[in-house]
Amino acid sequence: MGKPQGGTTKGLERLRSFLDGPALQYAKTRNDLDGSVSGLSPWIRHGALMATEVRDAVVAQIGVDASAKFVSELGWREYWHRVYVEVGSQIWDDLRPSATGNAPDVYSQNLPDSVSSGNSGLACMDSFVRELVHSGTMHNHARMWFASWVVHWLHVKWQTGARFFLRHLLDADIASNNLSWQWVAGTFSSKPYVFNRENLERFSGGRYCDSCAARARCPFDDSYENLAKKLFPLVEK
Amino acid sequence: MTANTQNVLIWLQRDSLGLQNPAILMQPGAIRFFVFDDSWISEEQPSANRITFINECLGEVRAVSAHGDAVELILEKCRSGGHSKVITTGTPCRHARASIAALTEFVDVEVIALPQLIADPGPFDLRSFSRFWGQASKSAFGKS
Repeated sequence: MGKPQGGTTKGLERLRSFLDGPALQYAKTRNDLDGSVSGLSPWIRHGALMATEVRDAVVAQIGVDASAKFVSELGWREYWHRVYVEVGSQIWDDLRPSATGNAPDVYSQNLPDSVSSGNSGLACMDSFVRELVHSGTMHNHARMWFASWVVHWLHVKWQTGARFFLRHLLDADIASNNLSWQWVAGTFSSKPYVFNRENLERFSGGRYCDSCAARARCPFDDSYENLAKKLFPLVEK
Repeated sequence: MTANTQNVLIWLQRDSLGLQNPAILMQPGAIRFFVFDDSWISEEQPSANRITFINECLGEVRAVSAHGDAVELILEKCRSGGHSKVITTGTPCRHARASIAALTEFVDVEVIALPQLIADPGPFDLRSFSRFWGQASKSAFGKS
């Protein structure tokens, strides 16, 4: 997909191309980096397309049952907005005690330049950042991986990562953005979100690992059990 | 609803920059105004890509824009254009909601709700998405 252009006309073009093909596969493949996603979030976020008209078009095209996952993703957006209205400026504060067991002072305010410039040496993360900075887009699964890496491996405050996304994402919405970072960080969820190399390779089709300079010392190459012990040593099983 | 087009200023929010904005549909001939609000710029420090996308949206809906304090700029626009009423759309943005509240001290403001994904008025349990969606999903699939 090319760099999104603003406006209802461009949004309707993207909606039509989604309805004409990928919509039916959305539920099955949306977590794959090459999966059938809509790419409609920049237009929905700015009201160039109303969430309701997108919902209506998708349901009309593929039916209620097949559109359930897509509509539930619109539901997440609605959920974040309602939480934001309740918490207001506290959207920048931890909404719950961290589920990581780590003390707040473990985390830094600073995002390393190597990370924000896409020169960390990790092929996957650097690719995500370069796409973000160049086009203002990042696949939702990549957002989760990147956020998890920043908070749980690099020990950077989720607020710092959230600001980085707010600056660049075309669909940046402080409600969805900050609360999703909190969900990953474990301050608005029952447990922190982590992933491992197997998961990333599976959903990225292995495109990064073979050429990654850090493949022999990949920080994600471990079982979930071992990663939890390393990342959250104070959390009891 | 009773104000004529010349008296109305449509204040576009960042989440209603499309041709289906209900304020535009209600008053299609009214001037459309957007503010790159200082509070938003300060909080999100948007990239050039983001600003460009917004400007492309504004161009399509033929809106004029300004950069600064939203309340001050809208009141100035009302004074200079002879607008006695501001129409805008509902938004979760806390900065915009504060500006709407402040504006109502000085000018007639009508806030139109955007079409709702969830028809059920609630209330809903917001402690987790699964709790929320368990209550709200039934009303999320109908025609809006």
